[in-house]
Amino acid sequence: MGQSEVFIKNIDTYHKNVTIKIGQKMLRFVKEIWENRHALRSQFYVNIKTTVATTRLGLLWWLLDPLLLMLIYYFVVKVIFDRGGPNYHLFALCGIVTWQSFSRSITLCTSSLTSNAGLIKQASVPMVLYVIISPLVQVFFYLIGLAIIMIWNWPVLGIQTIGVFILAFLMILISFTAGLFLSIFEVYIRDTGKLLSYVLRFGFYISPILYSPDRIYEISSIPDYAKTLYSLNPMVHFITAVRDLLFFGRMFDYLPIMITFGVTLCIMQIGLVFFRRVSPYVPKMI
Amino acid sequence: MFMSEILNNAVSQSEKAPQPMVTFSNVGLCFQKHASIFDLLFGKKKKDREFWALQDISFTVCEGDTIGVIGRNGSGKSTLSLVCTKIYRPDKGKVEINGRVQLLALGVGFEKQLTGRENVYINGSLMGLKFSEIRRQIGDIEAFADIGDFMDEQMRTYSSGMKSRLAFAIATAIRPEILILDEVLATGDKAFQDKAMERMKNLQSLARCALVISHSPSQLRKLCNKVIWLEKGKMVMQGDPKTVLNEYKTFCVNPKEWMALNNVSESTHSKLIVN
Repeated sequence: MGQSEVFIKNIDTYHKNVTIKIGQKMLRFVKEIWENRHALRSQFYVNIKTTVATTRLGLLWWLLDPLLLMLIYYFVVKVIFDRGGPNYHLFALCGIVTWQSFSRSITLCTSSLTSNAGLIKQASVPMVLYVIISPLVQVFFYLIGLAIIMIWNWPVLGIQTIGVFILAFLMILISFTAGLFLSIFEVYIRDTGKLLSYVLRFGFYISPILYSPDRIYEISSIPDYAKTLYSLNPMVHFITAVRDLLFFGRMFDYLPIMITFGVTLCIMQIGLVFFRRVSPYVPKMI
Repeated sequence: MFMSEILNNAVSQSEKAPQPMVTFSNVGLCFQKHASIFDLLFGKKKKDREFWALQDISFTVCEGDTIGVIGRNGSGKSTLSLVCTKIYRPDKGKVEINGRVQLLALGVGFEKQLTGRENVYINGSLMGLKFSEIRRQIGDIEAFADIGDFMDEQMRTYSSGMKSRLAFAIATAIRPEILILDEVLATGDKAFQDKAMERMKNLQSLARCALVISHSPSQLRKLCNKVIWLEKGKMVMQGDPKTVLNEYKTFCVNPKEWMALNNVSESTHSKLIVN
């Protein structure tokens, strides 16, 4: 027995080609994150601390940042397009805050490997860690933003408000999944980030941020397949769920959110396999 | 039966001889040069877009060894160190590494906007330490770096010497089995260099191995028991420090003349002496 162990040790352990077994990837990913939790914690700290480290107001910016953003949008929404009825500004803010952190999260995920080139070349921390950091950090700021909306619209709060944590978790999964692909694309084709900013701009309008998705479904001149296509956008269901919780004060529909969870997990599997296949070649390219 | 005999032999041999920690066999590493879509469509062959940073490198580092790597700028020294850390995957040949590797390079991985103390935690955790372990060692690190009150200042106020002091203190505190120093001993004042040298000697005595990349022949002579000389990604010489470093010194006086004298053409550097 001891001999076979020696033998196994002597086999070239350097970058083994691991056979792909679905499910194992996810387990391995969770294990990697757990093993490197201290590095993850310190990177999280770096990311939230460096946003305020050199400012005079310091931690206050975590609150000011979403607040100022909301005030700008409040002004635009209330003064310029106030048509959506009472409390339209809160209705729009639910969408805007969600979209803002989603798009920031994706953008930062995309550049996560290229911007951490120095660290990747020095520390032997699994690269997947750099991809998951931005979603985690952005969700932290997202929850602060949502808390402001909650305080603003406090009468609708209730037991169902706990649901925001489910949505926050879903947001981490969605942006991490997108990041698995986009970060690698960005390494090989630096045009990805540039293109992405246009895609996200477009996404702002095709997602129900300033309007309710029902309005799209109600327009009879839009063919059915276009409506189905429209409902494939996870943000449609996500923002609807956020509004259910924080604007109407009711529990969101389980089904669309469960389906989004399921689909995201499946794509994440593929993403993890893809990432693990390609990431050994990444350090040379950055 | 037969297999187990071979294995037995292998085991008993490995007990006698010092165990190899790092083994390079015919390693080559190539970078892709940047190519825009126009380069890909018109002309530029694949060969022209490749750049071989390392070619045909073979050497072994055993337990207790301290190997020096010397060469001019752009000769592939830093690339070699990144292959050792398994961060670069070689395109040719094989690399075998047994043990925990830590690369120490200057100015990488420090967050300028945070304090030195915070950076110790960040850097330490990236090197695989737990927070509790760092907390235990931080006094030690602080004492060794010896930068006084700057420990709680933002890193952007540090001089490059201070940064390297702190980096060196952290990296040697974690006791890696294989330590790679990339031009770290060059900075810092004389007092620190001596202290660092002593610490390096200590690490050696702990039967771990080190790879020291440096431009200073005198430093390598003091530390190393073997020196590798790279030029344009190829190994010119490897052997005992005295021979290699003397040859390197004469080479540096006039590289072109040296190559003509030794019948080494620019394109085909060959190994001259291998001890």
